[in-house]
Amino acid sequence: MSQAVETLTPPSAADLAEDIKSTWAAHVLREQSAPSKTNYIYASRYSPCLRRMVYEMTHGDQQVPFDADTIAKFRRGNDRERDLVSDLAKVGRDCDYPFDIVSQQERFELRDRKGRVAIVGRVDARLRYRWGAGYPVEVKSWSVFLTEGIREFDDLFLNRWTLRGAYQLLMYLLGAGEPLGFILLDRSGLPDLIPVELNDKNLSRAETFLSRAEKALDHKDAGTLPDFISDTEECHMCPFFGSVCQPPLKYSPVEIISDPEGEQILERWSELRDGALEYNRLDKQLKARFRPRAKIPVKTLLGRFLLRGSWGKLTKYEIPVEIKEQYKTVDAEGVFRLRVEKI
Amino acid sequence: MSTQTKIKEIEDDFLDPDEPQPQPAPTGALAKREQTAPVPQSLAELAAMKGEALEVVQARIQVLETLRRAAIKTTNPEDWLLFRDKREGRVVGYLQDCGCERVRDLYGIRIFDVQEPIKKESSDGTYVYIIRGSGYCALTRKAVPDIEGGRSSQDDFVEHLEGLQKELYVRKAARANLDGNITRELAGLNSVPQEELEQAWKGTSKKIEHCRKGKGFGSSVERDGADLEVMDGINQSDLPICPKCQAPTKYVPAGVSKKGKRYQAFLACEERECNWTMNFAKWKKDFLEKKEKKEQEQKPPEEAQSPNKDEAPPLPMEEPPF
Repeated sequence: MSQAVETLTPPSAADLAEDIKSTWAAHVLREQSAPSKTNYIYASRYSPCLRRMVYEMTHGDQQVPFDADTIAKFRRGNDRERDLVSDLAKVGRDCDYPFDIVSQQERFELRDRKGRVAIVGRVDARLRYRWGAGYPVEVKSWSVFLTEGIREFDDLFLNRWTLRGAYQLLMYLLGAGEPLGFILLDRSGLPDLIPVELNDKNLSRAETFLSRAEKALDHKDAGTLPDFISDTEECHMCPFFGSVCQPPLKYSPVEIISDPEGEQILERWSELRDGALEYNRLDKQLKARFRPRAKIPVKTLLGRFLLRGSWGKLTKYEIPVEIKEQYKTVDAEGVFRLRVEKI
Repeated sequence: MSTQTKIKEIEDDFLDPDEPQPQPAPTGALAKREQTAPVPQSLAELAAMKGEALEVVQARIQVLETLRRAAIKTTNPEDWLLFRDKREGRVVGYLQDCGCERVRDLYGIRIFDVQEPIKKESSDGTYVYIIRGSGYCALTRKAVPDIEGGRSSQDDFVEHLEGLQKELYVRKAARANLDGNITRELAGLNSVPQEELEQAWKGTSKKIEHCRKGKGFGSSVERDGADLEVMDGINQSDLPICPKCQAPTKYVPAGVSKKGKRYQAFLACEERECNWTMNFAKWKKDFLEKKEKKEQEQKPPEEAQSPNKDEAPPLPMEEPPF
């Protein structure tokens, strides 16, 4: 080794950046705690697959650990949740109905009918009002793609990721016997506070989770396993798939039909498609180009084209959002989208 | 039980009339061929159809061809591993396990009778996980019994892992391999000509150049297309010592990391615990410049031009003859 390294030129900016990034990832990974077995179900671990809930307890230590990027996302979420609770405490002092933030990160336990600790969790905070109530608050800092469509508590049940947060809060309400609580939802702007009442519908949901946890505990105690779930998508998202659990997979094939008329329509549709797209683009361009100020009509000759434009009546109903909300219904299957691809 | 008998049994099981069939589309004009009428399976059945047989066969070919193109179109170039036959130059694509997941839904693949993975250990501490299962294609009504999938603790993707974590990854990958093997077998995507891939991706941003390259495309660095920083002009003894731990350093050629990130050739400390590295091109440039400078300095100063004493004196010019 003839050359002393001290005399070398310093590394490039890219090399330095790469060095910092890889060390950062290693630093984040060091903070990860090893997954372990438990004797109960975590409140945040509701699953439509009962077998998975059993595995969470019996094989909890046999989960593939998260990568550095995912752990970093969790860290960011935790930091954000802490900030939101801190802001909430300040806001609470100035509200018309002032409240204090109490019992932060308080452990919660819910026992089943056999007296076993079935569901365990940690309540992010409680809002303590003058009248003595301590309403639980669950703070969630999910991806904006998940939170964009959430307007009310029921919306949380439409997605498999947000569903768990919804069940988590219901467990806190059921466990503490509180009639209401809140999901504090982080957003890119102001956070949203979604109220939740333990009405009949939500009570039934909460009891479903408790009863599933009880069944999972029964299996754990008996050393048995529930049947496989027949939801391939759920299986592929399960941390036990392939390592501990080997379920059968079932995909339904494409449906093959014979419909000469439909085929003709599709062929013609395919021929016209590109032209139609261009027509729509030009039509928009044209209308924007020759749109005058309000009340001024258009009567123009351009080359071989005569353009005539006039203003007509437009009726609008400016309905306040709160009124509009009262008439809102959500049908998860209400919209049909058809994507046609020529192979 | 013979394989053929088992295949027949599986096919009969799946053709159980009690099994709920998908409901026909609501429009009356759509006559579902596949579900409502029994599809002729054997040559004898086709022969019994006489003139219609050819139509049935052609319809089947069209369905399978369209489906195959649709399946390839669903996949990404990164899902394919290309192999080149060195003698004939023919290039074929192998659909990797991750890509198989995308096509299962089209073919209606079913994977069942999956057994617990079996660990087979070697005396050197390495191990493989083998897992068996059977498959069925609801579209072609073909079955493949007792297919095997497996992965080893020596595979590249678990090289950086140890203990239980490594074992979990190997086990999961073995299952993915089983599912992949069944899918490839039933969908016929084991070996797809390059031209077919290009044809299916025509008009999309998917390009054959983005596929991973395997056997027949040179060394791992060459097939990754990375710049080869050769050690040209540099001897092993020229390499620096590590500034961190004073250990020898080594040359690592350019390549692609496990995460798919390209990296340039670099120098790395040979000590396992030490993480010192340096870009090789930069070091080489610096080293060669310094070497040249040093050689210049060691050269003796050039003397002033003087007539050489040993040189014979120029001949006197001959006098002109006149």
